[in-house]
Amino acid sequence: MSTPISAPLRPLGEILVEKGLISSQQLEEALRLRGEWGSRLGDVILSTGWVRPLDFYCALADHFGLAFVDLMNDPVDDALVDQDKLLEYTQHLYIPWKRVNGALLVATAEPGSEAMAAIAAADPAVRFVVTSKFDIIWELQRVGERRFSHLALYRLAEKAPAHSARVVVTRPQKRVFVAFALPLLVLLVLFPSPVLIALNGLMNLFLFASFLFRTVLCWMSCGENDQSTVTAEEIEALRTQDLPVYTVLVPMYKEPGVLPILAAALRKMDYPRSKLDVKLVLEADDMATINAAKALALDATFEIIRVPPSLPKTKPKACNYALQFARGEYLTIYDAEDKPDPDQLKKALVTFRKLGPQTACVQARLNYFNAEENWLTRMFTLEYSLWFDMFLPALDRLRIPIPLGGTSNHFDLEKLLAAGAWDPFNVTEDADLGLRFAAMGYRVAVVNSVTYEEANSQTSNWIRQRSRWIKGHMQTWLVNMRDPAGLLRRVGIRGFCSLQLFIGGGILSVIAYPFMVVPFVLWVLTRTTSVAALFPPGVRLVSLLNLLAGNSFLIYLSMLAAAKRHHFTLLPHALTVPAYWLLMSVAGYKGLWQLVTRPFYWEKTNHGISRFTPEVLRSSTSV
Amino acid sequence: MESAGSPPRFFALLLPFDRAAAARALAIGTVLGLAAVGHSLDSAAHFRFAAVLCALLSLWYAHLEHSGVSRAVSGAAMVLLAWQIHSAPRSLYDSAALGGGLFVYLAVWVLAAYDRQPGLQSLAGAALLLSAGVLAKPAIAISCAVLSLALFAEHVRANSNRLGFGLLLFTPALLCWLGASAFGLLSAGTLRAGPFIPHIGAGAPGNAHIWRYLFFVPLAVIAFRLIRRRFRGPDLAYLAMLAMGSVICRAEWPQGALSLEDLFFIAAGGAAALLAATEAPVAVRQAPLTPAETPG
Repeated sequence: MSTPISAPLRPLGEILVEKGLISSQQLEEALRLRGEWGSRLGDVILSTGWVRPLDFYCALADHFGLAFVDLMNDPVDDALVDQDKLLEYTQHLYIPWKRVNGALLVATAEPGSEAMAAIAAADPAVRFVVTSKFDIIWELQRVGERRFSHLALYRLAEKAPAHSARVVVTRPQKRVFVAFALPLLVLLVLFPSPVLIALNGLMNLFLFASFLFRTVLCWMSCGENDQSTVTAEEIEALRTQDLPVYTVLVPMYKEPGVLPILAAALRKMDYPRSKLDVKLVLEADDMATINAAKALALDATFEIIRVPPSLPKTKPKACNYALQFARGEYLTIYDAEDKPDPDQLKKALVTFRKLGPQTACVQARLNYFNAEENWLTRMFTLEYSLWFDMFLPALDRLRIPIPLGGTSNHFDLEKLLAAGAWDPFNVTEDADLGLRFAAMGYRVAVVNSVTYEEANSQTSNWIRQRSRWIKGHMQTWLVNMRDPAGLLRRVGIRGFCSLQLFIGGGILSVIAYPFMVVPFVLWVLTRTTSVAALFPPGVRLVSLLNLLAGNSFLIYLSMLAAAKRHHFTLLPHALTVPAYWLLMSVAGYKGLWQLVTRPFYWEKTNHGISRFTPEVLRSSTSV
Repeated sequence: MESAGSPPRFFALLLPFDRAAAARALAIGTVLGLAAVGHSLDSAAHFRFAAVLCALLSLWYAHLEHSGVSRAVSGAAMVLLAWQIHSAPRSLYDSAALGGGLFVYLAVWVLAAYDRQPGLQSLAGAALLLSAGVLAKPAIAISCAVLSLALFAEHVRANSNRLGFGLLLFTPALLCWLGASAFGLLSAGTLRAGPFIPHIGAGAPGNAHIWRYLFFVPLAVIAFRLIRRRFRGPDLAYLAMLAMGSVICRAEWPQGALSLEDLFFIAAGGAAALLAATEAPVAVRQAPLTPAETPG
């Protein structure tokens, strides 16, 4: 019964009730929601989870008088699939299925869409059958795996190789490095003491400037950035019917236990569920998480995207892969254990509309739900509060490029694609993308909405995660410094200096921190004179200022950040921040080592290990 | 603790003025400064003092005008201060003491800013500025300590989060003190100025008449603020500082901590700042430290 698409024969709701798939009360409720949300009835019913998708699409076939086909039992003919049209297939949810008696049969999950009408108009010989969107996505992944994988890995590297970290250090960078390093080495051999003193002095001056810059940012943020503050009235003013489809990517790897947390948080979202396009992005070899996701029996809003195995196995590669299946106008990323504020999507949307078409991304603030678990989580919470509540809003206010945080960044999908999406070779792809947006003239804003995550509560796990972040920042700095003059032209002097002080300063401070602390601790403990040669009076003054004032400011800025976030119980713990910085240095050296030995290796952070997680899971599953 | 409206402008003086206002401030400051000390320009130190005084009076006038204080009140206050300086003995003409007055001016202004706009930024500003007093000479350190304690007392009267507020207010001072001590220890040098030797003993015979002039400007300013219904926490803190300073100065204990010159200019500096803060708009008072919200 494969036919061209004609007008629907009978109302879909009537068919569903007649088949006993939904009750008439449910139909009434669905019709009410359709009016309220401005969605199609089918999307509303699928998002409620009342009907199994397979049953729904059978009814949809009846609705249009078309045949239903189960692609799992009767897969597509690979030869019919045009590899250049894969993205079109994913966008409009159709796929050429078979050729019968010379006529092309197209399997679609959207038989009533304009795209199908256009196909039918272009080739009257085409016939249609209905299938489930999940079958189409599955088949597309099977047939187009190689192409999708290639695009996920090399889209940026091929389109804009200068922005890709695929090459860690470029040849010109190596030449510059050698041009500086060789004379320096010669001078070091000839005049060791003055050269070391000069290097020490320069490093300290740079660190001092970096501290100062962070203090200024913090000071500015003690007020509030009104421009990116979305009010309740602005959210109220949004018309639900006009809300666009929002894609939510949830990349996960080997974390089957925490998915219910995000699933519950997404269900609580103040956003029409029929307009959510949630992709659980799972590695194809991670059967435990795939099975856990299936076992949750999530509604049809959730789709599982299986990322085929390939190297490097990174989160940005997985996101790039899933991006090709995204159908939203806007897109955001959450980790599996995230608990975003329910109104976050709306706030991001208001921010996009308020700030205008130059805004490519809106970053929500991140914080932790297990701050009080142990010393490490307290320190991590202080640091995140400082980063997301102090530094980023100030950078936004100064219109300085913002390195994005790992999750809860909301993108205008069109601009994300224009920027080449994430760099799969960069292990802090988010920070890199924020800077790339700035270089393209786009704005990244910060919104007053919070996503609560799980803070790393184990030292070894924390060091793994942090070493990856620091390595990624090194990659980001190297990528951006391939063409310093070009970068200066594109982001201006403020953006350029900010990159040096914020990213460069951050890297240098964790690397240099032990060199600042250890000699003085040694000197205090042993009164040795052996370090004095490297610290003549001028250098000693700056070094001491850096050590004492820098640490003091770190402590106080952390306190201010905690107070701004209303974490008053964390205030006394801020006094131990200098010890946390020593831990950062350990991670920094690990990151540096990995940059040389395994630049694209993704140090996996284990989630779901907090002692608060079972409680959060319980409350999530009870929703 | 997100402040309502724009943050207070601590550095309002750095904002661009129109040329006429700048010229007016400079002319008035120079004339009054010279009128105050012109009769004693007989040494390089006095010339230096006169130059600093003229500059500070000019800045003060500009600040008063910028803060919305009427020209009549500004002019009267400046004349009063100039007359007070003029009437005082030459031994008071000490540039270092004038610097102390300037520091207290800033400290009281920051306190007043916190009072008008309670928020994290103004609290941090107050804490950082007051902590810098640790590095200054004892007279300033004592003034800052009293001002901090007064601000703390004012806060705990109305709010419950004492520990949080106390940590935010006193940590910079504590760290500054620890840092300065460590710096002195490690660098075998010191940031602190050399031991301060008062030029005149407060209780020395013949100096009793100075006390008559000392409180003239402060009392006039406090009276003015009472009339304008602007008498608030910073005024109490200022009076506490003045009272404590007078006791220390009079008793000469700790010895050499607070000289009469210091007290003279500390009193003047604080009063000058209060006058500048009088006409600034008062925000709706908020509780700056609210109970912790439960995340998640």
